[in-house]
Amino acid sequence: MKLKNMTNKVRGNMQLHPFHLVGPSPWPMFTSFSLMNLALSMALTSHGYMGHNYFMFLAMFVVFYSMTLWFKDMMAESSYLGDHTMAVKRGMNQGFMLFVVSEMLMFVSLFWAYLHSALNPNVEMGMMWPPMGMEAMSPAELPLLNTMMLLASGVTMTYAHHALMNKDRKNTLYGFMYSTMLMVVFVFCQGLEYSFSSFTIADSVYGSAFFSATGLHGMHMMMLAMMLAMCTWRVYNYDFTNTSHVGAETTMLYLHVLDMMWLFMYMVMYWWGS
Amino acid sequence: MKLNYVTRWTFSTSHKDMAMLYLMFGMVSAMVATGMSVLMRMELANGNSQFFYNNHQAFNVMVTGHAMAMMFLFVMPVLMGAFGNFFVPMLMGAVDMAFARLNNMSFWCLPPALVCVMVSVFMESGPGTGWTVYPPLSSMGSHSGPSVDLAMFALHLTTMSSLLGAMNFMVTMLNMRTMGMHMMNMPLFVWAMFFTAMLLLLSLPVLTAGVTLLLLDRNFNTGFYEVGAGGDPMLYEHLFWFFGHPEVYMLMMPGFGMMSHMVSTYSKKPMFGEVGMLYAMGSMGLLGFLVWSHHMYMVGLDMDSRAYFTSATMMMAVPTGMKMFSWLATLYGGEMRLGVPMLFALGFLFLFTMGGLTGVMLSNASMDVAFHDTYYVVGHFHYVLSMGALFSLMGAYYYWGPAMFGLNYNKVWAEMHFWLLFMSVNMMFLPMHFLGLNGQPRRMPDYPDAFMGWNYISSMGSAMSMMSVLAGLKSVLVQLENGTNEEFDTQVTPDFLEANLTRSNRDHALELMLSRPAEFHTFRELPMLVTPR
Amino acid sequence: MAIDPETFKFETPQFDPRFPNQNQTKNCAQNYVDYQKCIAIKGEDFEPCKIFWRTYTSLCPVDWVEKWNDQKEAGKLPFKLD
Repeated sequence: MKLKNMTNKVRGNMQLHPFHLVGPSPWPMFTSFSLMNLALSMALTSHGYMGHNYFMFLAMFVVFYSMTLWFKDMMAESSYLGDHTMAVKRGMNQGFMLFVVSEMLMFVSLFWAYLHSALNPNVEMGMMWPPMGMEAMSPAELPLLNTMMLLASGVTMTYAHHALMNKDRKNTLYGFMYSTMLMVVFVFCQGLEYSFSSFTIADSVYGSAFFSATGLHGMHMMMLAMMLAMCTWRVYNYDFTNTSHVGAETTMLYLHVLDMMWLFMYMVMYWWGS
Repeated sequence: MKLNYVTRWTFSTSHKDMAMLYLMFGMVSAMVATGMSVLMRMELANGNSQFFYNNHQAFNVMVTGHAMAMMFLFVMPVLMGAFGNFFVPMLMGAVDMAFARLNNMSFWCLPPALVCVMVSVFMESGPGTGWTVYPPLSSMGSHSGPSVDLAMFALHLTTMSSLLGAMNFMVTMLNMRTMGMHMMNMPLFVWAMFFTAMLLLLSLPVLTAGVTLLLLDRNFNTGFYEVGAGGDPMLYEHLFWFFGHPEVYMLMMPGFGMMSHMVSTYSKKPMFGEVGMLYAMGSMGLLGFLVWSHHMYMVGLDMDSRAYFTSATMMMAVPTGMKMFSWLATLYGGEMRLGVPMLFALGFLFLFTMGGLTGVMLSNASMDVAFHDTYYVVGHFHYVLSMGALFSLMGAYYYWGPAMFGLNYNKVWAEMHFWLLFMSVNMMFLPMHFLGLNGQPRRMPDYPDAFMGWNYISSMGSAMSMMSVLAGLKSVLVQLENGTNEEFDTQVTPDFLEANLTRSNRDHALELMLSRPAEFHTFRELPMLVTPR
Repeated sequence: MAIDPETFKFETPQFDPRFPNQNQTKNCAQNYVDYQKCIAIKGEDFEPCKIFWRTYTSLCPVDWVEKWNDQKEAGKLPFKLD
């Protein structure tokens, strides 16, 4: 009698609610176990228990690989199986928005770290910011160009969004492609800026805070470039429709939020802090 | 489609199965953490070295391991993971959690975290830092091995787990309520989980940033917490406690929710002032973010900050008092049944109040000068956590366990469990207040002989708590092995001691109306709320 | 040195709202810097400069002052004086 209750009714049954009951999936466990490998190998590698960091990179690779397979499943469910009803899509957007909120808090704490020292630079730094003897970056050069590029990516993104909603495939493709390219160029310019910088992450708390905050943003930009490339590819593959494009919506939200973060970062760390 | 065992339990996407996994995992970590606490208490049973051969580092490693395992791997997984996962969708008439796979990942991040904690504890000299992991003690100079890094990674893993869980809960509550159920119709436990999720979402990223900066300081030569590089260890304390204070509310809040359900069921009365309870929890959540520096009174804050944090912390007593008096008002005039969950609930009400009152003492910046880092603090937070959070957790187990397993507990064993636990925790933690007032510092494995008496009693309490753990395990075993389903339960007259049946009379609580255990997918068809309160 | 208890006035620096914390390191260093700036413009004999001197000699550990004086002589003082 009890066994009857343990049968799984995933698909094929008439479903009297608009939500998606996901079937069993190995990817969450793969992802988290590879995260454990990553944690252990990182700690052990950095303390000389292993003479190499192959395990670390292997673990990283497995994390990304399991995530890829997970996203593959999600795309199949949304585009090909039609599991993503309006209620499900609303949930996804809400979930992503909450994720973005938590990301913003992460940036806020890096700003906190920066301002903690910047507003009250201690004696060891010569009581000034940037610390005695350090050359800050000029906000009017490459960083300004980067800012312009991010603002432009906001424009191209909106262009793509409107085209997508108006069933204009060609302009959607262009919009996503332009945004992707702007992201790639931004990351490239940021790389240039890093390599020509006069200080490193180990040069006082100024260097530490500067590079960790801009580095965190830079990593998000790389992620965003991947997300945008993915969106371009999915538009190319006719995965999105004018009403069903959660992947594009989340990417757009992410892009705008990270643009905004960059603006704060530019104002505080490049401009005010130099 | 019949699932085989491996698929069902490792690749699970069912909230109920994952709740079971969380429950089992939480029990395992509870045993680990209890073992560590007993080691500490045995060391402190007498003056001089008893067990650690004067290895004070090892004692502090136990402190760290106990705290991390208890908070992040026992209380959070069981309260949020097990009861939250099982009952939040059920109470709202939702089919499952919003993101079933993420839910599974939330769970599977925890065993890796336990692995990291254990490796950290056993590797080299271990993390003798306490769960707060303050630099410079946790910096390369004082803890050069991989232990602290592993402890940080364990925190990262639990953070990931809880963050994903928090998003999942919030989306479930916002998006998947059943027909006719407005936000204001959500039961109090669901609301408690909502505020818990909100706290998690807003505070955990700050911890992640704080400990990542510590990792960078340790391994990548940055200078955030390094005074010589212009950094400041106080930054870590701010970031940590901006997380740490909401964290203790996250541990308590689900318990508040459960308490409301239990008190109301066993008084056979609707909860007094439900909306007030809800807003009390909300304002506690909000205030929780505004009081973090009361953990840092002794770092040399200026007078204005200490005045602010003192008064803001005292404000916290207002919503807490609201909750406490609402529970009392629910009891008052109710037809009280002293079932096992109710015993735990009454124990909670009494002991949590004690913990709250010592908390008001500690909130004073001027009094904290005397109490800071003494056993008074240890006594205080064990009264709120080990008797607040733990009692609500145990009570909820007995309250909802039958709904989860379809098996009623044996009330003799369960009551034995309660009384042993009640006596032992009081015996263990009450003397700590006296020791603290007399100035015994915490995280010290040795003390002058003058402190011996109360320490001895406290350690005896710890030994007794082991017995309560055994009684609890036996009670669970009896429930799972020969717990009767309620069809076979006979009415006992008079029934004022009977718990299992009172629960069945609760006909307006969705989770107690469903079949026990509920079906694999709880609802084939969404229920509808027709008489909103 | 004999101190006449009738006339001696025991002076310690008053509360400075710029440095409200218990850690007075920056108070010490700032007054040292201010003193150096003051005498660079007004000369060592200018009486109002003495307030900075009194503050930093009272707050700073002696070896810090000695270290800074040595660094100043060698032209390596890690503070900006302009």
